Amino acid sequence: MPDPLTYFLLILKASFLSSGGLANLPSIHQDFVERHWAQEGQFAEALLIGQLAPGPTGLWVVALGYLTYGFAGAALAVVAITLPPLLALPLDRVYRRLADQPVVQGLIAGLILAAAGSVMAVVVGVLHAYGFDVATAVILVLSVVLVGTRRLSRGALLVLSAAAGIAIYR
Amino acid sequence: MRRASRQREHPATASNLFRLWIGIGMKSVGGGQAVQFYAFEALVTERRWLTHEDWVKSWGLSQVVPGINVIAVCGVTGLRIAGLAGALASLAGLLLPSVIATVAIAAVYARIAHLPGVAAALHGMFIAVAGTALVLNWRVGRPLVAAATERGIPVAVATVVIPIVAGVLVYSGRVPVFMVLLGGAAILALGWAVTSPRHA
Repeated sequence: MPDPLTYFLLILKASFLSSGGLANLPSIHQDFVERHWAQEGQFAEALLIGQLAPGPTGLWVVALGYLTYGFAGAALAVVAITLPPLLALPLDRVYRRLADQPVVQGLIAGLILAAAGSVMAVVVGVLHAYGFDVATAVILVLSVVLVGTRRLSRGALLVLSAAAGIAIYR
Repeated sequence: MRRASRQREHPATASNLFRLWIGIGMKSVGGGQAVQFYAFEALVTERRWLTHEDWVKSWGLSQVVPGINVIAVCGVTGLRIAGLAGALASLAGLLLPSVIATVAIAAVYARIAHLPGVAAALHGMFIAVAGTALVLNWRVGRPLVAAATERGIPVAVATVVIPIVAGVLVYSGRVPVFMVLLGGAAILALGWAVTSPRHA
């Protein structure tokens, strides 16, 4: 059973060190799996619910909160992911000077790039836990091509891949 | 005249912002891009509560602060339009329907997770999400690599190497993730600072 304060602080830490709604995944994944608060599969489930629900996909953490710690988990997650971006409110006045600093631009670029690699590491880990087979490779390549060339919306892709999953893995 | 009457009909108050963002939050299936589209339509094009320049600045600021960009934009535009009350009303409007929907979907999922086919559908969808994540990371990373080539070979190499090393370290599970992220951030902060011309 998670301890609420630690639960909240771990999500807050991950979100403070993230740029965008998905970049807190690697840190939360590491901390929660280590403490046995979440299983590999629950991350896949939460990420998918975040894609299906309206609003920012970053709310996947709220789904993870519900799946791992019920309504308390969802409530803690909402607060923990909302606070970091609200730094924008006090920064609104000083933003121009801040954003023009090369140090700040470099810092954010480094954070984004390190997070991109880390997110892919977690995604590969979940795929590995599912078992990587030929069908996985085919669906993966098809979705990269279809989304990459903007031939398919993300919603349509989810419907098609769900159908493919049922056809192949059931 | 049209603009004046429109503003009388919809004054830029906190309660109107709340109502507006509820609509945006409910319509926006497909994540941040959809929210961005509907929010721009409503705040800048339709209601004219915000100038185009204000909008661009708010998005720039949202890239600098941590976490979900849309939440930062929602708060800052609310602040500019109707002060702190406007910021809080906008955030409540954005989050209320999407959080309720997220928890509702999670609750339904928890009840149907055991049904045959659900796990298989999820498996297929997750592979597609993995592909989508790859494409999104590529779109975010490519301009950073392009910008880095103008800063000389060391910065360009670091820009390409950081995501790869970060991925390997996180996959190995032996290094705390926050250290990996801070390491990447520190290296490029230094790299950009050293390679930028100094202005007085």
